[in-house]
Amino acid sequence: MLSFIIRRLGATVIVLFGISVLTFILIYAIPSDPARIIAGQHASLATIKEIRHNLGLDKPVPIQYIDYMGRLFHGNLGTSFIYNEPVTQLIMSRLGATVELALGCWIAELLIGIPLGIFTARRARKPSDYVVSALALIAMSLPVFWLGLILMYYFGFIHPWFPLGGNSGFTSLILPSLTYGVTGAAVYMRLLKSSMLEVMNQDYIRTARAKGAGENRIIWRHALRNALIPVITYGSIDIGTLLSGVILIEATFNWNGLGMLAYQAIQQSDIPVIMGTVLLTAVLVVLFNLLTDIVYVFVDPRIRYD
Amino acid sequence: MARKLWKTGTAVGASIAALGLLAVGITTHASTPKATVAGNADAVSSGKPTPGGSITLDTDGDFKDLDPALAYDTISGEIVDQMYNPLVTYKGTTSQLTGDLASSWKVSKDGKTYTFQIRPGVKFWNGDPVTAQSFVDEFQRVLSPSVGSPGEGFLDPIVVGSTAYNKGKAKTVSGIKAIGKYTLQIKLTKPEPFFLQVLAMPFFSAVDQAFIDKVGNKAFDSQTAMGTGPFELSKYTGTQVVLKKNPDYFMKDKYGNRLPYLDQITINVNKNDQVDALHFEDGQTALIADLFAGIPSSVYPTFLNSPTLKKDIIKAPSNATYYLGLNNKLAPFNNVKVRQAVEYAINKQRIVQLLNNRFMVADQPLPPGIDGYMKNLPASVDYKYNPAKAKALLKQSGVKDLNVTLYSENTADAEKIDDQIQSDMNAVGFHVKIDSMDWNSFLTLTEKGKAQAFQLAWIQDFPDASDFLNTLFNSNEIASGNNASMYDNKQVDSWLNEAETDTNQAQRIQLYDKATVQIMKDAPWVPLYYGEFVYAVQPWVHGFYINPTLMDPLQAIWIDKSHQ
Repeated sequence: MLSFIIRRLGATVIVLFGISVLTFILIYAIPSDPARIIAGQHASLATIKEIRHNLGLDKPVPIQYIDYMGRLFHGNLGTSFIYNEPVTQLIMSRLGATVELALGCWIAELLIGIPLGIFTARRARKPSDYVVSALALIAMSLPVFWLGLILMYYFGFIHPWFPLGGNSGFTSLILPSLTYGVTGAAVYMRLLKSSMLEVMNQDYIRTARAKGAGENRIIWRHALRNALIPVITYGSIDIGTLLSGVILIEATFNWNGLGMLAYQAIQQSDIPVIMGTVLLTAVLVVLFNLLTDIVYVFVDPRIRYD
Repeated sequence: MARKLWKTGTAVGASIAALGLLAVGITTHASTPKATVAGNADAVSSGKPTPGGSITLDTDGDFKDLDPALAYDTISGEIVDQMYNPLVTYKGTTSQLTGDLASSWKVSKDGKTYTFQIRPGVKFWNGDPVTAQSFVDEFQRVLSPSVGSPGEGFLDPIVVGSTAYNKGKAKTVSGIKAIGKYTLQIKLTKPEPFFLQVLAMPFFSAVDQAFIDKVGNKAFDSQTAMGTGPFELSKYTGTQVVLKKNPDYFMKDKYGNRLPYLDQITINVNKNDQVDALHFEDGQTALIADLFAGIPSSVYPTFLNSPTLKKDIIKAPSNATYYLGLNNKLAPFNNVKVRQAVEYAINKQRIVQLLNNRFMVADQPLPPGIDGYMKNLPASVDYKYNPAKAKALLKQSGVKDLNVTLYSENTADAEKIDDQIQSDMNAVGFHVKIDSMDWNSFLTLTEKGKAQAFQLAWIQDFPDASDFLNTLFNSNEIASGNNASMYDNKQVDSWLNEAETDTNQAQRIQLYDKATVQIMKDAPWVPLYYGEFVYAVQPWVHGFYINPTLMDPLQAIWIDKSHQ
């Protein structure tokens, strides 16, 4: 297991290097000038030139990349062109809000999706299955900004039970999590349902039934545990993505997290922030994939990496 | 402070809000009775000011700069305006200059030497005194390449010794001197009739150099502040700014009360305009004003359709011109008849209707609030919507290839206008393709002269015709990108250059009149509409007014919920 983890971490470095090169190239493919944005529409050419020089943007792109990587190896993600703040500081100031929101959204998805998955699997091809599946499909199709606004309007404005957006404590987390949970749970439900149906037809389930095991024991001890593998795979990618920012939820609920930071950075050609947020996303996705592979071993003892 | 158009990064929020508006159909929360608010630019007032209390404001932009030498966008400007003071400012709702940290000033007969007396006894928040040197320091910072101030071009080369200092050839700016503890002298290379208006920009505020030396330029822009203004920086994060009252602020109101009245102002970054409107409707926020550049388009219909919210709207003309630029160097707009055809082809009234009649149809580059605006434009250049005439001009031009790409920023308003321009131009024979993109890419493309036609706006830096006509139509501004239509007329250049240094205002206006007529004849732009401030102010907020050049007068407002 340890050698597997070391091998995967080694591969991560290569992935991150590839992503850094690709992101750098893509940023420079955009026909925009960060110095222009910083200087403002009315600035003189001389000012723009000075800003470009101060930011090192007048150097050839490969040199800029080498400089960036040099700083990165010393743990320095650079300073934001727009905010004049260290990127690490900017990311850290938003990370707490993003982790909170990501966990809230993820837990809501699981809390809604997993019970519904089990329910529809047990009620497969019965009217209740069709009703729940249809509702899940509708929920999955709802735009989050629309549902978010509806929820905020009724439960924040008409009935002021929850705050009208913003990230100010636990109560402000309920509506965004619920919005994401409702729209995202259907994927978990469908994954679990199909996986459960497959598992329920396996011989060991039939054996358990023949041995007189109760339905609850069969579902929770035998079927669910084996049916969880695809859910874990999807769930880990999902949380990795959520942790890198949920732009639509953040924008709808005025939740100032990493998603909005990254979006703004792209709009303003704030290269150090774009690089920082992209690399962080890559690290999170790779780490959660690794974590998933490790969790498999505990969920399904048949899986071994040695 | 220059009110800027280039608030970037709001596209997602705005689109979400717009979609949300359609979907949710938000109605009015009518539980709070709201008093009528005067629908003009005068102070919104009732009774005597009441000190104390705090307000919360939303903004859909980002806090970028705390340093007055760098702040050049609306959001940063709003905060910097509360914390710093320049030498001069504008009086009330007018464009009339008055002393701010300067108690008086003199201009020499040749218009090249300005001598300011600084108010004695004014202190920075930390107790350090404000002296003439506090301004010398800031002027040097603005000119210093290591700071990279957008204000540099307003001093260099007009101030004696500015270029040498900027290029590192001199250790001080020879034309800027503290000739006494409270006497500041500025020498210009030639007269600049609008130099005082330039000095009213926040770039040129008093700073405490000893404090900056201690914290460093970066922290002075991104973490901390030290000013003389009515509010001190209490808390600053990327998403929230808290300002608290400066108890020793030097300004007093007409009753002798020390300003400001409010104890605290909290500004939150909230990018969903729909939610921001709900905050206002719910009474959680006090204003929707400069921090939004007015009521956002996506929620404006909500305000119009609600009897209570409608009463909270106040309006005033802004010195801004929105235009369709036609690149004079690129076909088919290198032909004057084709450009004139576009002038007749566009239905400007329809564009204003699309924007909920918030704005006024434009007929020339200068807005009506700027001295030099021609009330009676000669009939030959007073283009009215006339598709038949547009078709005739196109025929006369002999130009066959009328394929045009129209560029714009990808905002909801700009895209609405794109569609109307496309439809109008296609109706007379053009074949218009629309290409809308993010602000930075759009600006880079247009300023490099690569866009055939583009939608852009100019919002004043200071209220003088030079800021519009010279900056946007002088051929020496092609390289800087400001003259993005690549307009080049040597006669117009000569009139504009003469007006730059003429200290006789009547003669200047004559020169600008001549330039305006010739520019309209050459038709490098189709002026579309003039801007307007459309703000929302709670009925319990008093003392608010709109100055076309300054940011919100937060030092002058007070709250009194018993008088609405």
